[in-house]
Amino acid sequence: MEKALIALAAALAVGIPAVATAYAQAKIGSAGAGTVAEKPETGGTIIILEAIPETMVILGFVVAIMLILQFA
Amino acid sequence: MIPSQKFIGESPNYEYLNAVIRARGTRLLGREVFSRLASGSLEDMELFLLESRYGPRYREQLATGGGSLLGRIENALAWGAADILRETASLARGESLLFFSVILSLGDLHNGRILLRASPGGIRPKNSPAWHRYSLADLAFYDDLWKKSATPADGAVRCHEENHDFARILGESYRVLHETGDLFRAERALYSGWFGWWSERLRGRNNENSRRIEEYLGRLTDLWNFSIWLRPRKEAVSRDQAFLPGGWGFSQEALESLDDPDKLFAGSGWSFVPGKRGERTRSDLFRSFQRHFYEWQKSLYRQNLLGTDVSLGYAAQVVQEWKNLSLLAVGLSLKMPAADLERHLFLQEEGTV
Amino acid sequence: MIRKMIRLALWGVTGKRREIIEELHRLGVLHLEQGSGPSAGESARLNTLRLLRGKTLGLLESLGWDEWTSLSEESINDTEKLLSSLPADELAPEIGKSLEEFGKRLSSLLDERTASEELLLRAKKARDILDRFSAFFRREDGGPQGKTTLWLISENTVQQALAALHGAFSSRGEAWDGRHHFVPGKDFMGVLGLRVSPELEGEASEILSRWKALPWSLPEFCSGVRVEDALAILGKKSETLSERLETISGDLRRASGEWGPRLAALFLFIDARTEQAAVEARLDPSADTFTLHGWIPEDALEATVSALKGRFGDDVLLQWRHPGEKEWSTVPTSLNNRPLCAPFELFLKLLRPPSYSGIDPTTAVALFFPFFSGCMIGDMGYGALILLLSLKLKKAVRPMLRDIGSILLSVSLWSIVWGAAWGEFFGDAGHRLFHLEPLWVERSVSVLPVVVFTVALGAAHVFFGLLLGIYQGVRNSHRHLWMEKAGNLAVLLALVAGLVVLKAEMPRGVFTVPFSLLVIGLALLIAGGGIGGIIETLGSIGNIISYVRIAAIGLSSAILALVASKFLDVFGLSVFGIFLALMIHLLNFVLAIGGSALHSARLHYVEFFGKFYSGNGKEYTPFQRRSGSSWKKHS
Repeated sequence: MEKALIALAAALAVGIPAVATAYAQAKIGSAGAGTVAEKPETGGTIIILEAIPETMVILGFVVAIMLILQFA
Repeated sequence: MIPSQKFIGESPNYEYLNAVIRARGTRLLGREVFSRLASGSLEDMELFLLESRYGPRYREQLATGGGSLLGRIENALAWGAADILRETASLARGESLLFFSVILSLGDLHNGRILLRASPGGIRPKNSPAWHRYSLADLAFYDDLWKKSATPADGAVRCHEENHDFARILGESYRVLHETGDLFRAERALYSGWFGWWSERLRGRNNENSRRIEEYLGRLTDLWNFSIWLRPRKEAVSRDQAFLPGGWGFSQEALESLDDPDKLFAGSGWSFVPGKRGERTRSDLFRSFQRHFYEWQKSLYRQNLLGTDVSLGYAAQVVQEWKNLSLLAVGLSLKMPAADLERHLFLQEEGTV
Repeated sequence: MIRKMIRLALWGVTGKRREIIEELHRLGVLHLEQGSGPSAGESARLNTLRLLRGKTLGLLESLGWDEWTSLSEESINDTEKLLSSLPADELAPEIGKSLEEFGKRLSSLLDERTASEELLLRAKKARDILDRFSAFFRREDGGPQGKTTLWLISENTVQQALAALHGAFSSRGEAWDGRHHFVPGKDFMGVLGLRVSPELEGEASEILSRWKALPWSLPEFCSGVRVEDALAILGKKSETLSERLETISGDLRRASGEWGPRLAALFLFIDARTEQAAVEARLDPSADTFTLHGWIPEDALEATVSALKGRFGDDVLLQWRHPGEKEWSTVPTSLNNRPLCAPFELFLKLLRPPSYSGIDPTTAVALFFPFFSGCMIGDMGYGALILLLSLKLKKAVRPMLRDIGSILLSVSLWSIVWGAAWGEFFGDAGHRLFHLEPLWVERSVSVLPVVVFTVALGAAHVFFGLLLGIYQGVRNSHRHLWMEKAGNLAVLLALVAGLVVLKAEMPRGVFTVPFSLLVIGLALLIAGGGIGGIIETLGSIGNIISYVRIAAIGLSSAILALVASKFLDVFGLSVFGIFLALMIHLLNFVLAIGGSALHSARLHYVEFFGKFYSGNGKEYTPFQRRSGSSWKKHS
């Protein structure tokens, strides 16, 4: 039972940020595609903007690994 | 290239569309460009157009157009503005496309009015007038009406052959004109048909964006109602019947009972102050109000960046840019002084951004 | 590497200015810098050329010709030779005249096409309406021969109108049955067909007009034709129109094939002349000599100087020097890397170029990008497949594809190396078939070592970026920049040192090292970047953790490959099992290439470049003839 809970916690730690990141990246990506199509020179800025929300899911992944390694 | 309406069923793509529009918005011409053009010659304007967004259309005119310099410039401008709007609309999907279509459809309304006004006499130049070429209906339809349908009855019959909602509305107005011979009533039929058609198409939508479009249509209605309101009182009978329902700021009651423009605007929600620019005549007042309406549309360009506001603000500026440039071309061909010319343009107020 | 640039100044005799400018344009290496606007006299020629250029391009666009890539250098050179022999003053009028002729012919064709299309549409609409009455037209009603007319009328009033018409017919003793037919349409309107004898004609139309019916008439080209006979005529007309339209499109296609390449070569010629005239227009024609300034890559200097001196001798005077430190911000940037690294310049195409005094990170990208990507893919089987793909791409025609091929080649080699380290060959297929064992760890089982390794890798990469930032700050005497980067580096090092001391359980006294580093770092940070500097350091910690993605993506790739093998366990060596396993591998392969490239690139753009790269350079755009395919950039 305890293992199941830990697994669930790890899954949530990755899953929730993943959903949030996906939402944010979808919006930023679609705006970014529009901007880059018109102004290719903004490519660098757009990549950085697009990359910002990704940190959430990386941190979530680290937390999940920690949860599993520490408690399971 | 008429934007296909088949994408209206998809989900809206405001983020993409607005990003494209905002990037393209940097190519809108600023006040200083107009000042420079106004103090130059028509030939300078020609060279300017070659390097501008209107370049491809101007090249086309150069290659195949013939005709006068002014004619080439006017054609290139009208086509260029239509290309800009239609190309932008073709990127929109779902609700954003539907709402963008409202803007394009304004072109139909203008074209319909041109046709109705040219109708009764049956005398018209062989060349087509300056159509609003970004319209939803095909341009060949308007050209055909212009060239082949001299009387309102012809026009009505021709419209019936067309399979387009706006053709039905225009046909209806033609019939009114044919039956009554009253241009004003025909125009009212056109406007009320157009507004009715759009409120039908927009029915059942209730979100921030649809409310903005409703506000836009309501304000447009106000514009029409105000032009009627400005008519002399002695036409009172036809005047009161002419007000369209569904205005944004002016209530039917206020329009019918009030005489003073200050009072009319006071409780209406419009921030327009009549007489502020020293308008003396009715037409001055109407022009001022039109300008105010334009400023409002333009201000939307910087409001909800994830909604339909950006499209509305951008389209208004594109259309205004076209009108300004056309006016400039005509003025330059008449060798008008720069200061006079600039006064006639709708330009950014100095000191504002 | 950023190419060394030389400031070149050229003095020439005004009489020879056109030839000198032409030669510079042909050489195509000088990045011109010109100040003031055109002077009035010379700009007239420039404006004529600009209009001519617009017109030629307009003709090409109207023809629908767009095969710039197929345009041969030969035809461009032939045109140039032919036209260069014309005296300069006659050139524009001569070309203008012949274009005028061609434009007229083209526009008459295009106009005819539009007119025919309109007529065709009109005929179709008329046929749509008449088709609905074909049975009525054929109907025998026994009455006297009469004239048929069609009317647009509202569905609400049609019955009343018909009743009134019936009354009129009966009062004249004419047959009523079979002489009218109503077809309802959309919007409560319909078309009424009516056949009346000549005597009744006037009365009938009066009645119909009273009921607000509108007469429908045949298209103009059918005037004088009876409505009953119109269908056949319209059919025939449509046929002729369609045939004519086909002929016109054929003519246009032929004209495009024949004239397109010639016009395109002409366009490129006029374009070159226009560009040269634009430079010329900014020179003062009244002076005896003129001056041109610009930047030229050091490696192209010698050839340029000898070419100019060889052709013009004492008519040109050339002087050159290296740019001073104060000029660095105005020098254009041109990259020049070794063949092994050059393909990686592709990564900088998305950004604005580095400044002349900045750092070209291409070599670093060439080193780290394949390393990271290979670490993520980490499978010898996939690596071998990528190797095959890259060899194929390296033979491609388009230079960009060849560059991608070279990049993939290094990625594939590192994938194989890392595949050996993780012991993966199509997942665990290598282990099952050849008892392949990992050289280091099996990453799907021991996650922690890989995670720690990637964080260390990230720290190294970020530190390297910071070092480059410090170097750049010092080189450009940008005190705030190097202090901030150094502070950032010191704080990060303090954290690492602190962790090492804690983990290694060293004596407390050793703590002074990280502590003093921290103090120095914070002081530098606040001096260099203020509060922003501290926030930047926090960001850097996030940046380092971000490299965990190398482990994460690698892990998911490894597990997906294992899943493929599991299918074989479950379904056995059946066709279905093998098919499923192959599908999973295919998916994983595509994800591995796409995902690893994307994330590796991101680590460079965001985490690495963020530490030193400032894309505020000016692109090196030499004064040269546009080639066939690159003109579009301009329009």
